Amino acid sequence: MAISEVEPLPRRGSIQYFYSKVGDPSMFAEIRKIELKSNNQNGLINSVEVTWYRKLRGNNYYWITVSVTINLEAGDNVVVSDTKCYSGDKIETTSMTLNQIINIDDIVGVSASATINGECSLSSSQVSIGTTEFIGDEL
Amino acid sequence: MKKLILFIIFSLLAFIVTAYSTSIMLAEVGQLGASDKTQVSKYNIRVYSILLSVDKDQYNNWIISITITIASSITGTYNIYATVTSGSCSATASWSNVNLAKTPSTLSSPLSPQCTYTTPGATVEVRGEPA
Repeated sequence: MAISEVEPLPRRGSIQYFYSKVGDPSMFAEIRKIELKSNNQNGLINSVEVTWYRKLRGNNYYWITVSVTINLEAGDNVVVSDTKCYSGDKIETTSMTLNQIINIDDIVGVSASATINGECSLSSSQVSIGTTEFIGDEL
Repeated sequence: MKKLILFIIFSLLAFIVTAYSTSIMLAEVGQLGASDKTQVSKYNIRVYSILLSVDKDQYNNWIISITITIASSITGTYNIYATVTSGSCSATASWSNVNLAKTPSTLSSPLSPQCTYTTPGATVEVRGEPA
């Protein structure tokens, strides 16, 4: 049966994404791509991948936190973030695993940001601080 | 006596015919405004990824195109709209008669106008409706 022959009811016909951009012409970070990753076609999301661009001042190293907030239909949010020490100008891809599996049909919005924090040292460039957090009632 | 029995039978027949025709009329009234189409389960537009392409890796850059990976909880033909808003600028890409299923499909389109990618960022709304 073609969908034109039926009258499907939209449970949720739209979704909103937000791509953050911070900084000024001398140093900035902007999100280019957000991807919700699923192992199969059942719509269960277990990780997110963010592609972002950074331009940092001089040869200095800075802590940058990449964060994704997933807004759920019930009003809850799932937040995942990753902080690393970076330098230079580059397109980067950051993958983060969610601490819970989310049904994509429950998602009403997704936002991602890359925020530039204080300077870090070269020795900490390999340091990764990742957190995953659930805000709201348990599902 | 015979006339009375005939009168009672005639009255019963008249009552039944009236009641039946009234019930048919009420059933028809109940259909007013209803669609001839069959209603099915509610669908969800599933957006797996959105890529915003820019013209250059500099602060004052423009969002020139969009690529979305999209699916639907119910297989069918949909019209898809993706609206990118950055600052006061807004651009919409649209795709008509897209066959969507649970397997994600990738759609790409240039954006017009090309909006400056300004702080604090850009909002993208993806909307789908049956074609």
